[in-house]
Amino acid sequence: MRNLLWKEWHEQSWKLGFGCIVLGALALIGLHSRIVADQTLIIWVNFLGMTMLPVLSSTGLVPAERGEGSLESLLALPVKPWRILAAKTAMGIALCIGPMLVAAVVSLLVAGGREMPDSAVVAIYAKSTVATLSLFIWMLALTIQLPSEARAALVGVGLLVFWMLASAGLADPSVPRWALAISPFALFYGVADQIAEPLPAVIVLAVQAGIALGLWIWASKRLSNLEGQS
Amino acid sequence: MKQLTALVWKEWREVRVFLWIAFGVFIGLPIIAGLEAMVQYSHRFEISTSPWVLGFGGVLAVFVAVGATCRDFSGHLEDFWRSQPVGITRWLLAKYFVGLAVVLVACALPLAIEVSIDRDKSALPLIVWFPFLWAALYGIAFLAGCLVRRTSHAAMLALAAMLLVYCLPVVIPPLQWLNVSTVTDFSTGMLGPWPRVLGLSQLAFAAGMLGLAIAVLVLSLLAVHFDWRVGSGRKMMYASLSAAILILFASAAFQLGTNMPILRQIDMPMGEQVCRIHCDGNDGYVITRTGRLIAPTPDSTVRKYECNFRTVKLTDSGIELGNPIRVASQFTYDLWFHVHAPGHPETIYYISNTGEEERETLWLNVAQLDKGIDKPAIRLWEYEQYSPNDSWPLLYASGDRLYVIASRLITLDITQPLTPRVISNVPFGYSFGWARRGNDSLTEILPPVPTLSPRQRLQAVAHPFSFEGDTLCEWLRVNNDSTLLAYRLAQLTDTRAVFKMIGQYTPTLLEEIFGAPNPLDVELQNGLLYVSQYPGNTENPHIDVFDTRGPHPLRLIGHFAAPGVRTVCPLPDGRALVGGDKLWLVGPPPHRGQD
Repeated sequence: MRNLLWKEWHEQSWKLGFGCIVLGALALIGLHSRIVADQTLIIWVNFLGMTMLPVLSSTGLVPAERGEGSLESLLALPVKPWRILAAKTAMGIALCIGPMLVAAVVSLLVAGGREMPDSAVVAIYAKSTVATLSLFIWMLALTIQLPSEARAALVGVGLLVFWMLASAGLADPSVPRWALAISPFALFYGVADQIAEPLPAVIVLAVQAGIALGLWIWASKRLSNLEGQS
Repeated sequence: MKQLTALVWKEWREVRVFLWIAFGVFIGLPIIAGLEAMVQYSHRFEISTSPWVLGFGGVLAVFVAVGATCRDFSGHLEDFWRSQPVGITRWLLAKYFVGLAVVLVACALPLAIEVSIDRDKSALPLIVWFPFLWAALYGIAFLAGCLVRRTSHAAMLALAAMLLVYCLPVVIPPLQWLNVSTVTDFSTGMLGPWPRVLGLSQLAFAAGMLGLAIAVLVLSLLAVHFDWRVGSGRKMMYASLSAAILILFASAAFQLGTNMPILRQIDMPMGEQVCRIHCDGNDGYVITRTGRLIAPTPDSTVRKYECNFRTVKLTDSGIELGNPIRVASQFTYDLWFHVHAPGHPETIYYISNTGEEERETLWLNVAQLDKGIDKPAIRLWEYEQYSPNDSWPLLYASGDRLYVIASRLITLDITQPLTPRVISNVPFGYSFGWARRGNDSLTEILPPVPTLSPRQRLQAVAHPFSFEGDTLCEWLRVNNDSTLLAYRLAQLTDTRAVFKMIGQYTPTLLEEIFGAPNPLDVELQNGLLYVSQYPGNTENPHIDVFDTRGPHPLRLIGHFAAPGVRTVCPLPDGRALVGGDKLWLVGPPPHRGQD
């Protein structure tokens, strides 16, 4: 397992650096110059993170390996496919959390307590990170059998658009309130609008964790099928 | 010659598809929009191609150049061309100029159509000067294609470079002469049909872009001649695109970053938002607004707004807010045209109307804000809304007199501010209406009130606008254009005031991206114009400060962005009170211009 993790780190660490630099720099420039209100800027940074990081991380894990032809070699190793997927998932989670963490620290250092209390800044980043992780698991599961990174990126973008539209629909007053909990954006939705009454975080987290677990098991089975085919 | 003709014919065959696509987007879509507008709003057909050409002209140049180069540099095609008895330079030049011609025709023709059809000729400077920009962008993309030789990577690199061409002149002062916005300085769309086109700054811009285009063409020839290549990969693409985006964001931050320090701030209690501020120095008041659900159910979004009056005191240690006193919610609207009782800032006079839409009864209201008292005091007259001889009355207070000026002149004694007493009420026949804005000069007819001096008559007329000393400013919105205008008083007689335009400011593209202009307060104090821009809570509400003095009036010198900013009250000492989700006391902008 350690070797698998080292391999993923060796291949993907530049993306972690890239994400940290982009999100951290955006937060630093925007909050230092106060080009917009702090809350607006933090939401922009989080929105960029939620849209960029899941696509960046999920497409580079399995589809990129298939595109380069190295997945067959990997699956031929005497390791269970779920272990390979677990290592890739761990790296993907790091790719999602790392940049958000860097941006959160930068935001707190530059603008903590200035216009918003620190707890509010942390809450926005935490909610966005949950959404990022949820989207990552969705993309990982749906792109695991795609033959190239480009196609996976297209599917990822399509999934983003789908959940954005679906979240707007699920948040409609005519839909039962709990239905929004299935959306990856459930916690983040309405973060800029203090009027909305959000769903209890515990319920959303439980639902999202259940969905993520189900998707991951499904992805693991699909990877095992790939092993059989290869 | 025959060889060259064959090369040109081959290139034309390959790139002409871009021309047809461009015509479809740059001409076809505006025609549809023009027809729709003609049916819905007016009976005159007008076509607006310039937004499309300005938005996508550069992208077209990139696509044409990258397509032309990468197509013949892929695989063994390059070997084929090198083996032909055609000089590589001649082949490349044919490719370059045919593609450039397609780009220029595709962009300039739609603009020419707009100029020939529309009354507004503001696209004319674009036809004259933008081809130099498109040539430079085309050349850069051509070079990217020659170096990278992979279509998608070359296109991404060229688009990143395009962002730099647009944004670097904004960030780096020595490059400001290459700023695209200098080309449109004479694009005075709302100021007359035919804009002037030629200027030194435009010539400098054109020379710069032409130089850039020639330089990248020479580099392209050298790159192909010596077979220079740049190995491109994912990392390079990610890095170049993100670097371009960060540079764009940094340039916006450089241009629009907050530069007015927060001296003191106070949270507004009970979720109130500050809508109006009145402060003469250290004491004043604010009108706040708070929204409450009428029926507090999860489904209900209907809100009722309640307004409070609170005193404000600026002390050495902070800002002190008084207790809330409920006032009518109309104060967030009607107070725009109020006057204060001289010496009693908490007592205000304003005019309201009752009755049918076309024939209304006008009332003079007296509001004592610090007591929450607001009542109609005097019935004025019947008002015909659409009558050309009747206009909404002007209010003017001076000393112990209050004047109501329109089709009648009512003079009131306000020695007792809360109980104004009518001294005289005579037919007056004055109808106020500002002259058409946007002209180089505007002339206002002053109300011939016998007891007022010409300056006081002018103050009565200019009261609802930003007027200080001899300077008058106004944020003008015509169609989708938004422009700030500054006028200086050139002549004042008993009957008229003549103003000459001294400055004009049109928001830059970056400003529009980071908060479309939607001015609420426009306040002039000590030659500085404070404008509160409120495009929406999530779209960057902020304060802009312009210097109206000096040889170049309306220089943007200050910016302050904060949550929910709606209103600003400049103080005599250069500081300003800013209201929104909080109340901020901010310092003056750093460059005080002519001080």
